Amino acid sequence: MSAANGTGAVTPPAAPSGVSVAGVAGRVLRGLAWAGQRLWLLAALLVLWEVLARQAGSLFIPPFSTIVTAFADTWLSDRLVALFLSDQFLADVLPSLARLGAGYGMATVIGVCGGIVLGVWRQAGAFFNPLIRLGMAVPVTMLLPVAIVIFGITSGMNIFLIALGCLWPILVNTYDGIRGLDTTMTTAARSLRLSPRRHFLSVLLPGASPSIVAGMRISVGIGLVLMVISELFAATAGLGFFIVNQQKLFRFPELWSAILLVALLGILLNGIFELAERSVLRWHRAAKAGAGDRR
Amino acid sequence: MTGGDGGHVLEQKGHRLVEVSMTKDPGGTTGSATPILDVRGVTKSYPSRRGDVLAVRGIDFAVRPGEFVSVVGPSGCGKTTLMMCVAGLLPLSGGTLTFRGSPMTGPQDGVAVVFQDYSRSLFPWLTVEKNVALPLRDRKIPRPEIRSRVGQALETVGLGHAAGLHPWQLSGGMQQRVAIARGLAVRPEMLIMDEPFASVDAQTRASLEDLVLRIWAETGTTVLFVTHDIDEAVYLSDRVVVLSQGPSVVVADIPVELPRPRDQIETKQIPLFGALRAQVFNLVMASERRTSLSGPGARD
Repeated sequence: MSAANGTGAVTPPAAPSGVSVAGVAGRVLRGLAWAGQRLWLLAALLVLWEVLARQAGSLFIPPFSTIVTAFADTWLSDRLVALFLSDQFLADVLPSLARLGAGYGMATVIGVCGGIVLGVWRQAGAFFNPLIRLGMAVPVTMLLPVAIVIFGITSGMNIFLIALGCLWPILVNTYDGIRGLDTTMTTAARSLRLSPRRHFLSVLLPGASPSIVAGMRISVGIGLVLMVISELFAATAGLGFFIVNQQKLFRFPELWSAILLVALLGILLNGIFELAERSVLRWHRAAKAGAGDRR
Repeated sequence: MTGGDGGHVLEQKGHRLVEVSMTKDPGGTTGSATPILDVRGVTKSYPSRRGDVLAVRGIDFAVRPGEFVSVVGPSGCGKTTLMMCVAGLLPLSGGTLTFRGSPMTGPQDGVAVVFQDYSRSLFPWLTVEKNVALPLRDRKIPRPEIRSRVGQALETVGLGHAAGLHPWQLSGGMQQRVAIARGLAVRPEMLIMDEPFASVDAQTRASLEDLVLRIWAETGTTVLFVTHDIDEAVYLSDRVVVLSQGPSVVVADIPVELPRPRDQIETKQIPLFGALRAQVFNLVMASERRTSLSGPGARD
């Protein structure tokens, strides 16, 4: 492995062509081919849905094109100031996202800090371990009725459930990440006599970061589910609230459009994560690939 | 080359092959004979299901300032354990360590350690430059000085051009040079090296050996060098401490009076080199034979 090429293994080799028409056309064609290879099954299934739904004529399962139309009507607008989003979007999606952000943010802070403390301080880790196992084992959705009683129908209730559900994967992964740090590495760190702050920032946190990020990624999905579910049962605005409302109004294309929106949100959040992972954990992938080269 | 001249005089007084090191006479002949590191009766045992397992037993030796001392022994004899104890990275089960005249209980300022496994002793998430700068951070050293020290350390090991790369973009030998640079950056009084070149190829190894000799000569730092390679120990050192098979004890403390500066070819052609090599080899083999015949796992 040569020094200069170390990064080559991470990013796919870019076409060395300059800005020429042929180059651009080639890139577009390759992009289409790439999309075609990965998305043809999805496209085929959507076409099948369209055909079957049209033939069945069911009120509950409208054709996909109807859902797309409803999606555009419900969630999008032609106003640039609102980023082409509709009032409905601002009224229902923003509160949901705010709850998700608050709950997920709390879970991340508590989970990462707690996981590091438990990982470093063995006695505390052993002491809290049964509690964590118990906490993980309880399905958070079962706490919904209790949370409603305690918090009432407030955003606090949604945030609490999201935070609790997201906490466990982050906490446990952080803990495992710290405990899984290579002993040679921690010994080397000890020999450098770093200040506790430096040790935390430059050794523990980055060393455990692959595991921490894995936990955070699992929790994004959990958070999204808990956001919708808690709103289905108790909320005065939000995506879950919207879905229940549309069901009661028998407006099924709108209902489906909300489901489509949640799916797109999930894809978007995952994509953001992937990008962040690629830049923050570049060393992790490269170091693993490098170790594979040598051994 | 003045590195260990004081020591040579002392050792010529007659200890060639003694059980314990020559610092039995602490009165010494010269002022520089006061050891920078004094290892007295160091014992280390590990708990196991069948009771404590003794790794090293009553190790005695001393290292004088500026000296280059190697510790050799058969593989698995507890060299690494001893090194970890001496570096303050493992608590002792018995005995004392004295560094610069005061008892040593943990990792010490003024001691830098280079580990065998360079791929795991450097931090892959930091660039070469930041790896080397790490031990200098949060120590009230002004930023420009950190930068100049890091640059200097990297230049010394010939990696000035690699500052912005990550360790995993470098070859094994280059990574170990980064680890050496990280040790140098703190300007240590003693550099402890635990089989630093055990996992690099022969050519790289020879050039790294000469690099360490050059650094030792230029900086005047004391070096404690742990290795299983007898040639390497004789080639580099002022003195070779030979350990027995585990639980290891010191079986000999041999002065190496080869002229300096040393040369990979010329030094190894001197008859004394061969003689010393044979002497250390026999001691190591003898201790290995003894254990394999009398030990519980002996065959026949």
